[in-house]
Amino acid sequence: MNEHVKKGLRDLLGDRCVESGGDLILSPMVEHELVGALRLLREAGGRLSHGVSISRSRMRSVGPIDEKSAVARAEAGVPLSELERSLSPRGLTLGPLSPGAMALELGAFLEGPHAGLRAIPGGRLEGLCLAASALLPDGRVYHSHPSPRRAAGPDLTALLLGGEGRFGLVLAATVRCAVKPEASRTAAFSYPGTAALLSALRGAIADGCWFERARAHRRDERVLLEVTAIGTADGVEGDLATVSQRAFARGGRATGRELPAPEPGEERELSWADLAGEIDSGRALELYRLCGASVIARGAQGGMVLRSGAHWPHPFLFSALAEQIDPTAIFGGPP
Amino acid sequence: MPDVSQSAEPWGQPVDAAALPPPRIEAASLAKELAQSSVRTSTSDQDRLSYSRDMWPRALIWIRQGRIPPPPDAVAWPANEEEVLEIVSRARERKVALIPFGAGSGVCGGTWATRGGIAIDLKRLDEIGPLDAERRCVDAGAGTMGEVLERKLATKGYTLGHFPSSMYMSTVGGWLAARGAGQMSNKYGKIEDMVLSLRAVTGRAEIVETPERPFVGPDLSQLLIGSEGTLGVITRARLRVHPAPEGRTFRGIKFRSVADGVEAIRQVYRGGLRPAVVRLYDPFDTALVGREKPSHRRTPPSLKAGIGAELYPAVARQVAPLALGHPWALNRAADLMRNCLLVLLFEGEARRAAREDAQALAICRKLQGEDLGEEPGRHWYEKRYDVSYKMSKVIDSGAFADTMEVAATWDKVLDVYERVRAAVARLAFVMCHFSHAYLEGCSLYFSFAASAPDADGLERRYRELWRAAQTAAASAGATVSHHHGVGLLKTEGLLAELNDGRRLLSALKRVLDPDGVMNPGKLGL
Repeated sequence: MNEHVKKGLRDLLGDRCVESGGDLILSPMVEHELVGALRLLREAGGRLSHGVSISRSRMRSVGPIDEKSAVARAEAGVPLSELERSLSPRGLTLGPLSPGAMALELGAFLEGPHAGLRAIPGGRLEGLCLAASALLPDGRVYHSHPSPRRAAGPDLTALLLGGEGRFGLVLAATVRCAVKPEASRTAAFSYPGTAALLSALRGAIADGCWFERARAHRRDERVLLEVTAIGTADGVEGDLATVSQRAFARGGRATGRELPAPEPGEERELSWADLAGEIDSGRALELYRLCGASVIARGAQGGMVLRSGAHWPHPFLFSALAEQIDPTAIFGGPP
Repeated sequence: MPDVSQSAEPWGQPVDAAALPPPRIEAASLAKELAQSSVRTSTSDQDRLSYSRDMWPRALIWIRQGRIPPPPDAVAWPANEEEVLEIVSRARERKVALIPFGAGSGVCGGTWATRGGIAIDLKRLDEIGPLDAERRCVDAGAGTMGEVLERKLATKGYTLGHFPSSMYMSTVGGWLAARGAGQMSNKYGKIEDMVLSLRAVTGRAEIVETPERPFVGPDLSQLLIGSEGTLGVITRARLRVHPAPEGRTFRGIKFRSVADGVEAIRQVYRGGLRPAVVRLYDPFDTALVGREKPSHRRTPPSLKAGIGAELYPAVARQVAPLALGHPWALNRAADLMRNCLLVLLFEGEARRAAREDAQALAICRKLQGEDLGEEPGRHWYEKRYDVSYKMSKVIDSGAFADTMEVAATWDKVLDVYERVRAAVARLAFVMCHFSHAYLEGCSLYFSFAASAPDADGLERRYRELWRAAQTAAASAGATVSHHHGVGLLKTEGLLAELNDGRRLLSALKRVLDPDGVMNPGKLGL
């Protein structure tokens, strides 16, 4: 990158344009700085990840928070833990996300392997992102429509969610919140086998039970499950009643034993078949984002590590799409 | 919002039903070529006429006048995915347009052959795979009729949970292409929430199968769902299923105003409850329900049904052309009414459903809701599919009826309701129900009925009505469609809503359908 462009970036960003090991790190604070920096890069034929990187960590304003609709606007650099702290006094929460997710900034949670997904009652996955504003490679800003659901063509935010910034950089998002739980209670059950445990757990999730987390561990001939239900006081009691009924129907019984937390480690996304294998191998697991399709687990060895940089399915198709959307490869080129 | 009424026929031109234009040579020749390869095809006028229309009321108005939407040049009935692939591959070479066709229940002109081409009827792709009870999923071909799939699942003790009012005349592929919703989406989600993976033949003439979780990268399924045939032909889907509910509760609750009823729905969701069905009828519809003797009280399954089942016999048969020609007076009369009916239905594990019903009732009572017992809910359930076959009676009376479903967050819902009613008050009689609720908002389902002295007047009024309604809804912050899709009807609204997102949509089109043969003209592509 020539000195002229570097000077332009320094003029734009001041001390938020730093050189480290020969690479430029740009840290815009507001949207127009990011748009301006990208324009300079584009004019110079620069490419992100080729000697230049953009950090959105300083773009961290939160608001407005709409308590009536339970949604909140936040910039991409807001850590989810910080967003959660902003929501809490307003009676809202992001809902039960995994510790690994909560450690991320909003932009990274949406664009990375979490793809901005959370589990909602009924065992469904739902995007945390109700609407997003994203900077496109040509410098335009795309604002998706903030509607609960739409039948207005393909869901174009799917290009942003899990897209690792290849098709657009998330600037800000309106996130769906949940009502802050007024109660939380943990109960443990012992099952005669893994299949019985998983059947009961999946049934309870499909029934609408809302779990902050669960733990599972095989001990001798029994398999133990511990769930932490959250919600209204009535809701928590109802959920635990449902779990109990499901457990008894599958030969389970309540137990007072607490399950140990697994060793801290990577979070992995597991299908339910993967999960059965992990339990049968005797590992102590902690489970999050429990839904009908998959779970996120700590303590597992299999499944998919939630880490950026893995190979995408249909690479040819997405490469062709990257070439169409970002012909100069300013966002790093094809995945 | 662009003025669609002033555009140069963005919705297509009618043709004389008694004198169809001959099929275009390229398409007819391709159909013949496909037939020689054992793909069933036809270029007969009868078949072309049959596939020229969907259930868009505009087509129904034309048909009453002896006109039809532009017909396809030919029709193909592929027997399997390989034949779909062959059709797309050859059409791509010959640059012949293809229009995927399910059961024709769309209401937006999404299957109109505005640029000719071959309609691909997918109903022969109707294979239903074995139920995977452990993984709780089933594979279904795109041409599988909704009711057939649900009946098969029921024999195994399962349900898909997708119950559109078009259940008897819509297919899995149509649901996916239009991003549809069933009446119980509150509990089971919209169709996009039910898909684990799908298969499609893209406009590149390549088969893609989207991955199941876990995977990294963008979710390709969500880019194909809702594409309305513009990117490819969906051939098969793996769908999530649920054990059939062991218990179900029904409840009707009367509120003193729309605002109270809407707030009750919001509070129910904030209370962590997830009814399978939530429907709040606005005052005029509630009044129609209540005017009958209690033993014969009827609850329409929707306001579209209100028009078909209630408004039509009560008003349309006697004075429809006259009264609906002056809708302002009817709307003023409706303004004087206040009471609203909320129907709630919970289902699932029996004790849980009963518990949640009681909790919801307690919430409603705090908002001055009056418990009407089970009957309104039961009646709705019994009549829930009655709607889709009665619209033509309204058309036959010389009037028209149509529906517009939008969605908005809770902070905007009442504004959308008021603005749309105000905008169309002089053009059509209007009613609305609120349903498909989420923690952050809900869908508003408007029903319109109007008439005009002659055919041209009817067409003008229809366009003016849609323009006014869409403009008002968009200005209040609603999305252009919640579950009917876009087709031709809402193209302008979609493009306005997408704004710079059009570039992303166009890029998708260029990659997945580089020759532009897939359902051209829809979604603005």
